[in-house]
Amino acid sequence: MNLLKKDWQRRTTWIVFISVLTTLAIGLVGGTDWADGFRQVLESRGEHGGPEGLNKVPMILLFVIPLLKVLLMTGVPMTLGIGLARGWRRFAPRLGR
Amino acid sequence: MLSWRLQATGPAGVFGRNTPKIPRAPTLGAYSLHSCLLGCAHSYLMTGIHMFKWLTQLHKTRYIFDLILLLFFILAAAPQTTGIAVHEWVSFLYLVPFAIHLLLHWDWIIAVPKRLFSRLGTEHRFNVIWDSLLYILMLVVTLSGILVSEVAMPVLGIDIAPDGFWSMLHHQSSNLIMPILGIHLAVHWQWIVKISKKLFDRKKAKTAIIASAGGIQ
Repeated sequence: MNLLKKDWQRRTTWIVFISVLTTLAIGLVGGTDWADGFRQVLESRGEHGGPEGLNKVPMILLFVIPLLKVLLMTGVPMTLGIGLARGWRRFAPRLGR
Repeated sequence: MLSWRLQATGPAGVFGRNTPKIPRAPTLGAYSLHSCLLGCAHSYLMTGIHMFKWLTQLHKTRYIFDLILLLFFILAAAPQTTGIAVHEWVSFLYLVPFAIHLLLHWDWIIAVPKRLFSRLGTEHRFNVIWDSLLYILMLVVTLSGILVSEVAMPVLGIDIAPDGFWSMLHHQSSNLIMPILGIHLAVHWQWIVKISKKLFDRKKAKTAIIASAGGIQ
């Protein structure tokens, strides 16, 4: 906890300042021609699918599946990454890194 | 005033010396109750001291806050499960543990520019680039989320017209952030396992303290 208290005002100011600056830079993307092109594509794209199909899915699954999606989309790359990192640490010295 | 005097002096102070004394509990019972209370207080005090020491240790503090951050992320990343309102407010609250996460890893962040231009191993270089990517993507998700907010921003009195571009960017970037976070966790997996083992050992020690306090009776 002492680490959090250490010079936290200056550090937080820096974090907020850099984050806001980066966010503003990202926000500029919204005004580019590229973003306008995307908007036109999105507007021209007609609605398809719709919620009719969702009525057939059990209610509980509508709540569980999104959570499962988060866990899988984070967990699977994590598991693969752990495997790759182990393999890397084992074989990299042999490759003469 | 009277009630204060009653509380302050007790029954003996109000009624004088003639107040019948409360009979004492048998010695053995009093002793066992006393030792039990003392043992429990001791064990709780020791647990508290251990917890305080535990929290003061940097790596373990980081571990707790990172766990909180992960829980917030899971809650915020499933709007269909939690509902849009909870998703938006949790996402706003998420910025607090996120800032704490950055504060706790300040030394590492400060060392990033130096590290990028120095001779580093591939793994460390990858780590620096990946964490920077995760940070930028987090900002993209936050900004686009604010710009497509349906509940939180109107409550705060800011009405933003829905924009297809930011909505699309919010969905795509939030989908992309999940595997990137997964890889981020994988890169730090050894550290996570090491601290988890220490935490598990501490739990064992606490159980032993409570068990020994039970033995005093």
